[in-house]
Amino acid sequence: MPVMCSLQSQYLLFHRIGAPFLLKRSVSSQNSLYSKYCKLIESYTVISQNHLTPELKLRLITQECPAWNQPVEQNSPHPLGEPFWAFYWPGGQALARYILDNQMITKGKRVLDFGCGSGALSIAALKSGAKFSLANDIDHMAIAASQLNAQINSVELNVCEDNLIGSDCVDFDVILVGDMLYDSALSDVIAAWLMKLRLAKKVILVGDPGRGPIGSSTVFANSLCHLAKYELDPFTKKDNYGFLQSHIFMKHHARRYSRLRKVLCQFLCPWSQQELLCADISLDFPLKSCNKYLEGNISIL
Amino acid sequence: MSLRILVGVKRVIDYAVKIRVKPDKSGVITEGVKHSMNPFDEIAIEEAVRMKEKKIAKEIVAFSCGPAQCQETLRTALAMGADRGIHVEVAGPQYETLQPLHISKMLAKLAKDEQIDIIIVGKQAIDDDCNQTAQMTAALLDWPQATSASKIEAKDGSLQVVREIDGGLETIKVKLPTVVSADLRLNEPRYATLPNIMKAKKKPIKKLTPKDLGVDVSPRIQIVTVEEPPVRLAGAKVENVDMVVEKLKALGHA
Repeated sequence: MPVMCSLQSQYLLFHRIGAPFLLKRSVSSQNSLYSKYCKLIESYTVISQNHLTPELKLRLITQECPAWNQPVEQNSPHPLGEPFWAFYWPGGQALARYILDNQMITKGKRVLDFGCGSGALSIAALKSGAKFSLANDIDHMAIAASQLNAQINSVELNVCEDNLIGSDCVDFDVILVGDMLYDSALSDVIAAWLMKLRLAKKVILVGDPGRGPIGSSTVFANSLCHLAKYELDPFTKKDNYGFLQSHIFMKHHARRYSRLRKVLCQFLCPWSQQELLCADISLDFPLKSCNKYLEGNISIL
Repeated sequence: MSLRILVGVKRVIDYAVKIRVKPDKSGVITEGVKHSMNPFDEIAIEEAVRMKEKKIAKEIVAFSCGPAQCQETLRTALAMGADRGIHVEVAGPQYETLQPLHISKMLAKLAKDEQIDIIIVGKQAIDDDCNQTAQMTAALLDWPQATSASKIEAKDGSLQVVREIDGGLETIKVKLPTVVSADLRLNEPRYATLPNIMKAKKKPIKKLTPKDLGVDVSPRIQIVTVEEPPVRLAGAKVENVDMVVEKLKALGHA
């Protein structure tokens, strides 16, 4: 889409020459582009704080919404399209919680929220002092929802509707990946891209409830380092068929592992290794492959 | 109990679609025709989901065999409440000659691989009306079978199943592991809602080939010809009862 491309280039231009007024201008032009979807989003959603990050108010489809229980006719498109953004996925929830609890990760940093959905991670990063945050999703409704949510939470975010997989991300320090590794084909593409970004010394944080594909690529799985685990609230658990916890991983560079581990220990005071080892083995994941993966993961730690 | 249930779901031409035969009589027209999950398989999934809701089952695996579009059928199953899907891809002419025996062999292999306690399938598919898969799967595994189920109750280590039989109902008890086939009155399947459809998009579907399961799907049958049912001839109106009797006599019915 030409419009989106120009927005993206405008955005990059801003960072290369470092002129803040361009940022303002691009935000306002984007706002008018997406504001037409806001009414539609508002009509289907409610503002919810019923999740792992109650300090963030997010427009979501919850049990109070009529759409929650309405039957959907098969083979007919929904007015919202495929509203991934209307749900706060376990991986996203945990990662948002993590960056809110560990503000030094995003403080002063340039953050990319890849596959932003509701925009929760961008908002969490900005609340934690990020220099700026780019909410990126290929669904225009997700961009609109992210902007709406940013408004509700009084933060200003940048948006981008391009498919950024494969891009160099020269303008970012931290890449946030919340619950994007759900499809094996998509995961493989994302994994290859993230490996490349990791070599470029980007900090990459992955939030995932232990879905299958994260473990299917062994190269990828072995290069992830388990950072933290969050118990999901009963509401989210019920909606996500048996996923009880959500996990935060950091992609690490194999050779730099020992250094990274030191960094991790600085980051994470709340947990000790032992605690994590005991807790993870007791997980009741529905997938065999996940168990295998987690065991592999524990051995890294 | 924490059972693992394997449910077979078949993608068939939607029950509301008028079936048309290809001009060369080699099969029925499937291109551009609405497909959906075999209604009896919807009932099978629903029963599995209810067992999970009652905490009898801990995991539901949905299985479908056929072309790439079977993933949509699996997504429907996942949206209804199955936990993950397994798609065995068979397409083209091979799919046209696929028989219940092939599916039974796949189900049997998966049941072993996935440590399944109960296999539930629809009692028949509305396209070929075979009514064979459950029976053959049970035979291959040497498991008991409870076909045409209209009520299932789990009782420690066994199922009590009410079966629909000619002229009435039969209640049987089968030990686990077992194979069950779902009849029409077993339950009323739920509709998928938007949250469930979205969540289903993030549930895993594993893709396999028949070879992965060690099943040879080379054709055992050859389709000679597929014909439309004979067109019903137009009736005639009569004025009164006497004329009906007269007509019937003339036709040799009375």
